Amino acid sequence: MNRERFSVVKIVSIVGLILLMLWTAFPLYWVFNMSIQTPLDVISYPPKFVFDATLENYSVVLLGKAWLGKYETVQTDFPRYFLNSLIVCFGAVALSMLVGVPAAYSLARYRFRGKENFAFTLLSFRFAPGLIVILPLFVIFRRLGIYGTYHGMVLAYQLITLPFSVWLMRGFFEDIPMELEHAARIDGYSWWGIFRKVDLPLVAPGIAATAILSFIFAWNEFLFGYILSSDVTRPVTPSLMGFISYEQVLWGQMAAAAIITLLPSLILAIFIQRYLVRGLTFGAVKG
Amino acid sequence: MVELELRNVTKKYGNLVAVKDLSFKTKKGELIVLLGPPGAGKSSTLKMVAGIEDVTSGSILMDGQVVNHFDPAERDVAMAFETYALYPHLSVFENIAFPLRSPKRAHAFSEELVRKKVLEVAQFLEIDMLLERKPKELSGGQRQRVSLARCLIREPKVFLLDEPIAHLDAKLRHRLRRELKKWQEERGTTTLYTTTDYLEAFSVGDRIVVLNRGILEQMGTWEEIYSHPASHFVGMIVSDPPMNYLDARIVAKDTEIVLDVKGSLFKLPANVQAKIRAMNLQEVIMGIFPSKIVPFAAETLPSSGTVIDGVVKFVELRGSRKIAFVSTDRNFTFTIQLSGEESVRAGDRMRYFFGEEAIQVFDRQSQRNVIYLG
Repeated sequence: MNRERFSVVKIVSIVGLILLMLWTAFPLYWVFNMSIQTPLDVISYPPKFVFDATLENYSVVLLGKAWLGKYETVQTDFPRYFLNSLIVCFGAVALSMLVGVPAAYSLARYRFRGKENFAFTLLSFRFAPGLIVILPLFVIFRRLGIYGTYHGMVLAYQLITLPFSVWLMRGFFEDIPMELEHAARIDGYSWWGIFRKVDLPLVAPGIAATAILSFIFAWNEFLFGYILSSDVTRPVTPSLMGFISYEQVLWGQMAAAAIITLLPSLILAIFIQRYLVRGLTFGAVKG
Repeated sequence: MVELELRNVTKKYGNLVAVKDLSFKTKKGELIVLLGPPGAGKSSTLKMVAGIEDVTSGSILMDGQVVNHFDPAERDVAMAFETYALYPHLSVFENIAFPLRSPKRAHAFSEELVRKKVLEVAQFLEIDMLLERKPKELSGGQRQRVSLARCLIREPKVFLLDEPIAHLDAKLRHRLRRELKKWQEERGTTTLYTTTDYLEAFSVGDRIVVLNRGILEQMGTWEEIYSHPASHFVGMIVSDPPMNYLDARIVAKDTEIVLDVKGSLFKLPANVQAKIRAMNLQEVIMGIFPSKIVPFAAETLPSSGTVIDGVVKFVELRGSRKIAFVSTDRNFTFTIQLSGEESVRAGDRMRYFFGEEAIQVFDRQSQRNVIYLG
């Protein structure tokens, strides 16, 4: 009786999970399909599930080579945009970590005036839609002469990565018992020594997880990249719009570019699972 | 070897007073036990001496020098935490070696010397087979010993041991009591040691500080405390079962002052009488340790002291001791401590004896032992 009910519950939940997975993964599957279809197959109706696959979209997007009876060189800026994204995202994450880790540490460890207000204000940057700040930001960036530069974009991206890093890292630091720092002070270590020898090794997995998540957020950012970049510094997300041209929408190439754009996030997301395992401080204190 | 002194030290956490106006002074190389129930302020005191908690007021001195503003590292103390505070990312070996690798000390300790010292202290604490493990792979008792090892590996000015052997199994605890004391004596390091266990306190401490709610109740050697507990509280905490307490009134009989407990009169030593007379006390509490009441079998009555008959209500065996709860013929009850061989059963009639000097008299209002009053 009990076993039967158990198995029914199990079957229902498995079916449910499969449906959810289909729901989530189908768009990805469809984009992938488009990326290996010829322009004719892409727009055919009813849509084709069986077709002759082609890698031409990828070769055009990545290498700028199209097959028109023979290979011909066409223009592609995609690799450059991809590189731009890498530069801006790595820059943004690096800066966030450099500033955010000490900030998170002090929020976790010290008492100072306006501490919670400061922390909340920082977090509130995440509440506001980017559209609210984008116009003033645009004007400020023009005046400062950092519009369309890499460092300008790295700064703008802090609105996305910094609050997130600080709040996540604060939790990791707060998980370290105060007693560990007390013990290390008595053992003869300076503040910096304790930070390096005790705190950092303990939060290292947290830093890795935070950095990866920040990177994914930054990578997926569209608005700042769209408004604040120039042709030379444009990141990959707004660049996808470039496949919408006067004459036609290059669906196949756009899909191929989208799939390539997806890869870094996908790979990092697989990595992150290992690092997100908490409970690192287990065993530090009794109980 | 240093002389450690606390002068009017107070510690408040918000409104909560953890330690109140605490003053005492150690001799060089002395082991002082802070004895008290949980929440008595023992750990707070240790943390203030270590320098990881600020004092709210008062001063801490080492060899006459105020060290209030000194960093923990500058104070050169070693501490074993009650919560262990092991570094979870380091092996047992590295945990124990951690103090020796600190910037201040690293130059004095070669890798070889570190290894030698870690092994020595690990063998002493029977954890030498665990050196490669991480703290999370250890039992509570093992973790406590690692924490103790990390403290003992140093040769600091002061050891601060916060219930260092509380979580070990009984056998190891008894062995370590002795050997910790020996270890400390050989090195001559001034030590503060906390415990909730009066037997542990008596066996390791050169002197004992009894704390209650952050207040020093009494400081002294085992003999001093046991012969004259300073307060009602001390009598409770340094004896198991606790001291017998009976409400008593002071009455004059002939030229003497005696205690009246429900009509029974008890004579007092002369110095106690003098104190009571000087303080003009009326209402008091009489206290007698259960171990100071002994069975009495002789035919002739002694010239001083008290002999009382009673019926045993209940007997409890505690290791090598027996605890008897006796209802006396004089309308009050006593607990008595007997040796394990004594054949006593509930319902037995018993005659027992205690001397005048066994009686402690506490002022009912202040709860202080009258001989310390005035």
